[in-house]
Amino acid sequence: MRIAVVPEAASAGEERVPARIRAFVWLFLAAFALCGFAKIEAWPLTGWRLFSELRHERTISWRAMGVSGSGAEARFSFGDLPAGYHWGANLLSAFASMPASEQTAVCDAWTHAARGRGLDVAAIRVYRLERVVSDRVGSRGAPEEAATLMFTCGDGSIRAEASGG
Amino acid sequence: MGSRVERWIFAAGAPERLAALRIGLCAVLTWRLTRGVFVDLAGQPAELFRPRSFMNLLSSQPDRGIVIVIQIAGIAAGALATVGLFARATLPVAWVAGMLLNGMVTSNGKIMHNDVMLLLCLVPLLIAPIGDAWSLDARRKGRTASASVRYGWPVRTAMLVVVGAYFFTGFAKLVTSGPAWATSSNMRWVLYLSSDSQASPNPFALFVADRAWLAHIVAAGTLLIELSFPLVLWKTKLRVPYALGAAGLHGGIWLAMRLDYFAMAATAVIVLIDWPAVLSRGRNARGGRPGPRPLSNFEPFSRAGSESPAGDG
Repeated sequence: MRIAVVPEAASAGEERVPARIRAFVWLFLAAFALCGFAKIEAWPLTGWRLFSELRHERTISWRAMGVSGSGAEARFSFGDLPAGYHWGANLLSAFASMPASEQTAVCDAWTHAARGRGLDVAAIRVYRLERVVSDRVGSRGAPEEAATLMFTCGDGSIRAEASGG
Repeated sequence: MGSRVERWIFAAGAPERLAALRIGLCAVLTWRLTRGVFVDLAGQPAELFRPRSFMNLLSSQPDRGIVIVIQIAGIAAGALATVGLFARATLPVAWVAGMLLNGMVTSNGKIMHNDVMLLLCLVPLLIAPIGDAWSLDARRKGRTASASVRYGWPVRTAMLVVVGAYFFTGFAKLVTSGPAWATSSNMRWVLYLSSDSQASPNPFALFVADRAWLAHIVAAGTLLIELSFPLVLWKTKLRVPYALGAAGLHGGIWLAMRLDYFAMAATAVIVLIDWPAVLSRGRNARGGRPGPRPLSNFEPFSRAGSESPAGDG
């Protein structure tokens, strides 16, 4: 099926897009392309790094465990906190690279929110987990090979438990 | 080359094609603004705020009351822009609301791309005559628009954004990881990790991850679609398959990884497909009256500014 086409040359010859709009379009497209090629993040302009990094068979991840007043340890789930805290996993994965003051502030925010929900959380322990993704148990990944306690924090203090990571 | 691109971008276009973009993109933006995530984030303590870009102007997420006002204003403005009532004023309001609210979402320690392509495709529409066809504005003023250079560039600029978004997504994979992104077991590990992070094992992710050959095909296919996306600028017949391919890609990601890229998929489909032509064909096929007017946004990149005898698709 053929679609009729407007006689472009005629209309384009008679009228022209104003220079200010042309400049706007070129500037916008140049910024868009620059961020794309150079992988610059200036949101909403972006380097489009969606799953661009290779995942390996051996992976590192992070887990937070809550420590009760009696010393018992249980999984610290951000899903149990108010909705504004549900992105905690993003900060947890960057926790080791934060300055100590930032780690303390973030950890205090988590513990206070947990207590606000009636949870018995005296401190939070941050573990570094190593797992081999290909190790499977049924339809689930096998438990981690190693869990290293890296930090213990809460009530305005933080203690580094292990070096590296 | 530069002048050919210039001619292509700023060639004449049909007002209905621009109107279709306004209706589609504004409808998606309005729907995305109804999400509850923005109010959820308003209660977040400042210690957890990781601002990005313009959000660095703030010391924390905005207060709940402010967020609700922005959200209501954005939804109302988006709905009005969709139907084309005071569209040139209401679209910028909806877009600014979208920027602020999605800026909140991306200020949580991870850059979020879900709504970026939608917001970027709307940028050219902010200063375009978007209310001249298929709008209450046009009906109110009794105006009928005809093809003009005023209506072509917003559509083609949005098209370049869609093409660029997918191309750069593939480009980033290639530059960062090289061919190993597809030739190694990368895709299997991605899918296993995703399934393991979900409340219950994901059968779609596991189906692919358990079959190395299938994981390679999925990875190579993804990379191929992304890197070859610019072909749609030259081959107009590829626009519909690529739009549907992109939608399929995002649909697959949602099934296997539960990641919501609906806005990106919808934007690709809205921008790449010539909806007035589709309507016109539908009417012709039913033996009804022909479409609203001739169409001009179908021309390929290589014919920019020429008097092509016929479009294709």
